[in-house]
Amino acid sequence: MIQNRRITDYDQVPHGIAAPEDSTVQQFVSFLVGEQQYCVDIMAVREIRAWTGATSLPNSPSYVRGVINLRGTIVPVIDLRMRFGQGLTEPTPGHVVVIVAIGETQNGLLVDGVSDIVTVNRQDIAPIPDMEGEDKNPYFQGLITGQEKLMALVALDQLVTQRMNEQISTSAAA
Amino acid sequence: MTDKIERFKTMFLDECDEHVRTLERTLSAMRGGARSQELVDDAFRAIHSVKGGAGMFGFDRIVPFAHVFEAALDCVRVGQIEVSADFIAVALRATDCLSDLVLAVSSNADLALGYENTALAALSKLVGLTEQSAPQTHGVRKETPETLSGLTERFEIGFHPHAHLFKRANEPLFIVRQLQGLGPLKVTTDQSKLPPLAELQPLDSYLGWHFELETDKGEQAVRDVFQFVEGDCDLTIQRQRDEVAIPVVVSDHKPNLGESTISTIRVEIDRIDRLVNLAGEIAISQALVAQQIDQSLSNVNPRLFQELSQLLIHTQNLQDSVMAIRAQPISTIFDRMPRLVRELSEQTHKKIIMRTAGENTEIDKTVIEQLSDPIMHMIRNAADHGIESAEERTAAGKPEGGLIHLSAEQRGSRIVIEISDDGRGIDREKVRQKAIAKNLISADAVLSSEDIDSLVFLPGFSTAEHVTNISGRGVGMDVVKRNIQKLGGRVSLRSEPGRGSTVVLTLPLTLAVLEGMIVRSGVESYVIPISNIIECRTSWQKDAGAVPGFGEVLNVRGGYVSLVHLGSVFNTTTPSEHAHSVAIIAEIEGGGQMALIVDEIIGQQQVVIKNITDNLDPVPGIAGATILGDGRVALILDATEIAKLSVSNGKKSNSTDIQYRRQVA
Repeated sequence: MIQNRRITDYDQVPHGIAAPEDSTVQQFVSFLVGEQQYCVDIMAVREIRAWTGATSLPNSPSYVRGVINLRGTIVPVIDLRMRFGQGLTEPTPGHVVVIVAIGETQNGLLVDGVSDIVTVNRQDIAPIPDMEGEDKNPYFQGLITGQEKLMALVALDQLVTQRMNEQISTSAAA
Repeated sequence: MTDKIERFKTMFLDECDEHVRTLERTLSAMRGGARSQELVDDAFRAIHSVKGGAGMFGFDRIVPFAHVFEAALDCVRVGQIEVSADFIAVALRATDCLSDLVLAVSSNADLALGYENTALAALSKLVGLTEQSAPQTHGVRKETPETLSGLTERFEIGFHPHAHLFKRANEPLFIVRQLQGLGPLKVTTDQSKLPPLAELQPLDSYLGWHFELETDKGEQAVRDVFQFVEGDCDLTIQRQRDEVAIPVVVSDHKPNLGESTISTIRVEIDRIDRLVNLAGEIAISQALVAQQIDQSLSNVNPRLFQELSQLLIHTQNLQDSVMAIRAQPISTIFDRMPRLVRELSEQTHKKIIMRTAGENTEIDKTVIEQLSDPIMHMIRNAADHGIESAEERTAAGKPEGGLIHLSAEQRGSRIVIEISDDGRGIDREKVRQKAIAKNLISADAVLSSEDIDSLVFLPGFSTAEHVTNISGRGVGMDVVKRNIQKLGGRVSLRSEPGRGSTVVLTLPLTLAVLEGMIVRSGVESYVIPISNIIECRTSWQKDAGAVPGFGEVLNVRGGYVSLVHLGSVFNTTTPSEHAHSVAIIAEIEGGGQMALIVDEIIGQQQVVIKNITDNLDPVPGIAGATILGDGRVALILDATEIAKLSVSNGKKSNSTDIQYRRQVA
């Protein structure tokens, strides 16, 4: 899998991005959707590429922007803005697709731009606050403090399970 | 080093599998009445190879068993045992047993001690009748039994290993020791090939030996010592008594012994897959380059253009060749089935005969792998539910033995596999009651016979009164259907009460390429498999009409087919009023047709099929995807699914989709 990793212009760390030996810290790739900073575990990130369009999938949820050709593999692209319920992204060549591994599958996340690779102390990862009477946002597994801005750690596996669940429920309703 | 041995072991076990299949095939042929020396020889060679290999790796349960088995077959070979029905029955059971022994070794499973004893006893009994002349071909064994001659003979043996002897895990010292075990031995070493120290390759073999051996064990025993180095050495064995030299110069290439020994190499499937992918990528890159050159350079440098078309041809050939690597005869599955039927026949106490046809049909390896379980499942179904007991059959005026027929053939770009039995067929009333009881259909549903038959494909359906360990857990046919669909195939079922049922699987020839028509609908391009297309019509509008309560239809040469707008089914565009739009008349599974309206035909080309379900859930109506010349992904359409989609979109009510109706009802 390591061989698959390609560092593009967007990737700002030139060398040695392997996880540090020290397990008290963890590395994340942070990116922007609108004004908000989000991040994902660097070990899940396979590569980062510019948006070059996607082939739309019929009868799919609106946040699935379609599929792209990743060197011969067909990979779906999820519009994170739409996924988080903030409307469709209007992608330009300046937009970025972060290819992440979720379980056995590869998925593209359409985001506005990749900002950085951050190294975070584990104690700086705070749980999502419980809010009385409201459903906990399932797409985040933590908040990262101690950086310039607060970042939400995306729960990648939730993105997919949600997708499957919704597809199952929509097809059952048909 | 252990790794290497493990690898050889795996290779050996793979080979064992093949040998067991050869045994199965030859014995089955003999059971069918075929008698030829060639068949017997094939069977003998197979068991001999198993024994030899097993001895080498020290599989001490396989060796003695294979030995007795080999002895039995050798008796047949030299004509001491008749090929009787009894013999074949015993031999087939022994084959099954051998197969289990091999499986136990390869899966590291424990097989109960004495598991093989029944089969072994039966075999020994066969051989026992002619014990005196049983062959002594047990190369590993120290004490060879008394020979017929009992005379002491003197042998001069020249043994000159090839350089690679050690790489095949051979050890000359063992040979010397084994010769010593045969009788007084004099050894001279031939060092003539030994190079100067500086040129010496430490892993190569340079020495040769000359042996003078006195033994009463006979020439065969001597030859057996060299059994494992055959092909890796120059060997001469001269019997001094009659002064006749019998030089045995064995080359590296084994003689071509017919179909089973076409020279082959074993390659990990991953490597081939990588090659398939690369070939696909090259084709795409080639197309991309061609596009660029087409536009800018074709006038400037016509030569370049010519070379490029050469490249195109080579790329296509490359792709075809790579695909051919993956093709395998379906006999790899079919050969396993007679055993299953034999076992089922015993378990169900029914007489069942198995016939197969079209074993040589070639199909993609991935498809083959995924086919084994569904086919086995349906054979179990046929044996358990389909075929009646002997009494029932006689009462119905049928021959006592039930027949299961398994066949494969290529039709166009698809492979059709049929599993049919001449049993009782589907009891439609029972199926219907069951479906109502399980709440799969409503009690007043009006279903055609075909509809009822298709109910068995619904999840959770099983009509077996008792759950047997053969079938009847109700997870059967729907799983079969899903697995086949995953392969881009379809399942259909025909049944005639009292006369049997037939399950038909249609599968794509390869999962890798198809000839497709590229069409445009809205902003996207799609691929429709050419094999589905009957004709394309422009200015179709004048023949279109609407049928109230059904939807739009198109008059095609006097008949009416339902009209489907691709854009509406996919919810991408409104029905195309475009003057250039085209009606593509496509065939759908089950014999129907539909007219699919698209905005434009772009062209026709071979496309590499990419699986979309690797990374996402199946999308209804989409069979796969491909990458077009410009690097973009185009979806491959599944005509049958699209026809169903257009039905379930609620525009029409069609009679074929039970799933849909169930939900409405």
